[in-house]
Amino acid sequence: MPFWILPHTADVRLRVEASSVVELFAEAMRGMMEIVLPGFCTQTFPHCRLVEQDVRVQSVDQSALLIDFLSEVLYWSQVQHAVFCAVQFQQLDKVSLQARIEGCEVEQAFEEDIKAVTYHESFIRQNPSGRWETVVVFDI
Amino acid sequence: MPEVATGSIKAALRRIEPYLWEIPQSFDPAMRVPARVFATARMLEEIIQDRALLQLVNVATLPGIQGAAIAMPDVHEGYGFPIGGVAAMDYETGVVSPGGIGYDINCGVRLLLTDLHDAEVNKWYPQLAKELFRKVPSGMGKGGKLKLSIKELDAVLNGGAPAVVKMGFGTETDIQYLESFGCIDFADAGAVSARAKERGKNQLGTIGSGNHFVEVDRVELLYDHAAAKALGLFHGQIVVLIHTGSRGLGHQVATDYIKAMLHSMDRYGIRLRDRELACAPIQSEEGQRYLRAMAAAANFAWANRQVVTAEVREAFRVLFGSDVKIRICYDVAHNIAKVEEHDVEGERKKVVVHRKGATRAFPPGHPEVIEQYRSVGQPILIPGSMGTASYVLVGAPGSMKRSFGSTCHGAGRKMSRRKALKAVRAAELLKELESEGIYAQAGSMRGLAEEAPIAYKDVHSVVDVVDRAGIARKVAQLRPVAVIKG
Repeated sequence: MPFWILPHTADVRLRVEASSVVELFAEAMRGMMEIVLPGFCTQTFPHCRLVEQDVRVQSVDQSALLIDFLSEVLYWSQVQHAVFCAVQFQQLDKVSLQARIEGCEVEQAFEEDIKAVTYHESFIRQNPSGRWETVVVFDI
Repeated sequence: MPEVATGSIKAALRRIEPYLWEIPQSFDPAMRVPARVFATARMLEEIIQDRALLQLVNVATLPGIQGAAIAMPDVHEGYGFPIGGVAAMDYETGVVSPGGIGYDINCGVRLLLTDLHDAEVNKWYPQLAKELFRKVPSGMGKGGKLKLSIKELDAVLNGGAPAVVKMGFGTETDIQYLESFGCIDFADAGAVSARAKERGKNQLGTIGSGNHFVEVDRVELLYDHAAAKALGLFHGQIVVLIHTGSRGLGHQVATDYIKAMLHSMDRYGIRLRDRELACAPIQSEEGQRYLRAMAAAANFAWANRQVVTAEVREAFRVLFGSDVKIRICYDVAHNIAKVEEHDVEGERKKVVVHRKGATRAFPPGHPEVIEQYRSVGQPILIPGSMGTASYVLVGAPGSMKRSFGSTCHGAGRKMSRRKALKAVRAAELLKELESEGIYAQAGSMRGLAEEAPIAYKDVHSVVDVVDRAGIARKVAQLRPVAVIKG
């Protein structure tokens, strides 16, 4: 599994691990959506109304870029009541990205209301086994 | 990391008063002031189980912090600032940190008083829960019946609760019983992003999810009869607590400004050990703009609780007729920054008091306590977990000396949501609550289980600490009889 929920007293702490930075960003997004609507991104959806959204993000560094990207996805998820399961990056460097996020508009209520994606404890690093990892804390 | 750090925190803590503990400034060279926590020795054992006090130490490193970084007995781990924290920053030389207010700007509690007695209406509690659930929209991202144009929304952001009273939600008298009269006058809708407005425009009059609720209570115990009388409370009275905030609008304001401040910190030479503490000098353009946006979001929250009040009144009238009288006792903010004057080491100073999961607790005689309650002190509303009790307190003189006029805000979580989900079955919880005479309605069974009473600290101990520490005084204990949650 590329992401795990770790203990946190009031909010949700997510650990994400992936073989590349691009994959880390994509898995962090799917991890966030797993919190919003568990199991949704692993199902198939014959009647899904597709939602696509272009996003551009600029940040102070790579770790902040991930958080700002997730905040962007969260915003679109909330205003379109959509769950985004896929992302295509047109450009991703250490301080900016351009991407198209793809997902489904959903009718059912979200399981968890994420208020915000926080910068707390987020730090992208390569672990000794060469995989990329970080923790993301969500305010619930 | 937590084990080692928690161990060192534990070793550093020393008792400076019977219910006040201190981590001295010498604990960490970056600390500008000590960190203090109100607790009993037993509560402290629980508090050090998570990272709350490590986060409090980080708060003590912020530029311009005065006196001490302070934690209340309901403190628990947050992100950046702990939840249940107070930090006062020098108005001229200090910083403002959106994380010290939180994403749910002006999350707060309102207490409504009815003229109904438990004995007259107790057979109606199940129907009351259902009617409230019908009238008050709740749940994830849920919109309300009120759809505002951007112009109307701007009027609410600038005008707060009085703006929605003008739209027909409540009366002029209601406004007299709100902290800051339901409006911070330096609010500026122009400092709030289009995105924040988009997230909030349909959410007035909704409670949302998580720990937000509408709770009907019976006044169970009176500790101070004179203060209870002054506040309008009597034994057996039916009252209503509303707990909600600025919804998606406030969340987006905080998100926008934390990001902006991360970009501007370098310019001001600010280095932080946790980015979630992102801040800007109060006197900077970024700091002033954030304060205006925060005030606008706070106004939105007061307006939100005002519209919810109208919905609660409607629900009561459906069941008990149009003669039922419901007035506001008080409305407190527990996630907010306020510009106040305090005595700091013998000097009168203007400060920005950040309260994140903490309530203002001004004592009797304080000029900012509304005239009607000035003789008893500012009312403080402490919601418990839905199965235990809630409390009404008033501010006490010790709060001005020890906590920048602040006290606790609730029971405080002790168990993670995930753990609560594993430990609790919602259907059984509903039955258990019902057997205790508490009728709950929830939009999400998962949400209900996450908020089970076992996930919270003992609210009685929390209020006992602030009472004995002299920062607040117990007036009444409330017993829930009907609860609605998102």
